[in-house]
Amino acid sequence: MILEIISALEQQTNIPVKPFGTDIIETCILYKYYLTSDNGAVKQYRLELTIISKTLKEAEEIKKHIDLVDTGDTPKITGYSITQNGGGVLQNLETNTVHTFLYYNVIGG
Amino acid sequence: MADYILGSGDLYLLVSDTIPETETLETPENKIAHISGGASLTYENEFYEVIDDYNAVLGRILTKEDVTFKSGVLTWDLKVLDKICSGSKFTEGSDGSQPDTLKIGGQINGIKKVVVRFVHTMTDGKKLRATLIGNNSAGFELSFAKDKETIIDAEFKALSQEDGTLVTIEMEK
Repeated sequence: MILEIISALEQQTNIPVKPFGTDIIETCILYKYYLTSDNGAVKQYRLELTIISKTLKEAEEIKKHIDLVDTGDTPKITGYSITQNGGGVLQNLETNTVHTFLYYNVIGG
Repeated sequence: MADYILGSGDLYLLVSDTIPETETLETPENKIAHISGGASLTYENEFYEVIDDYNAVLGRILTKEDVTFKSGVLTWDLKVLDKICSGSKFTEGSDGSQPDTLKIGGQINGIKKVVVRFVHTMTDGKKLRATLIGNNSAGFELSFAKDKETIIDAEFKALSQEDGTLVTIEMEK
């Protein structure tokens, strides 16, 4: 599941996509995900993305290229239903970077 | 082995009174670009029961069968609306300045038959197809809300084909 989404993110944004964190100051996307429910037939995951950028404007440009969310019942990633249901933004004064959060629910078999 | 089925699918509509080959039916022109809320296929039947005075059921006769297909259409234009509406007439604008026009009503004797095909793609890539010929049986409602996308509920009630079939369901092996 996650490999297909990460691959799509890399193609859409053309910037590095890394798990958990980064030890250099760069424009990139960080991700983490975990299973939130499973009834034996349907698994639901929480996917949390953090866009690290130099400016808010740059973050907005990157966000425009991220295209994961279903249109109606038509999935962007075949076999998975993805909806966005949260997010936020903060400024890291130590590194002078903007952190933009995007939260998704991912449903798949 | 039977498996669970998860997810929605693609909807194809074609104004026709016969079911064409898959290659003819499942084309981009016939596909409703995006549907919302999945789809449902309902089979209902009615029986007449022969019951004696001791309340024993001696026989049961099938008197009526109904198949209804329902789905929500998310992306649409007047051509799509024309397929969904039983009594309508669509006229395409002759050039860029003329608007497309859909006239609804007054087509009582000319309700159109529509081939409805819903294609669900299973997790292994194989397809499940449900096909019927039907009429729109519930009209539609266009609602324009400031905070909700317009979804048209399309409901088709199946007509009997030559051999009495109401709906055909196919699953690829």
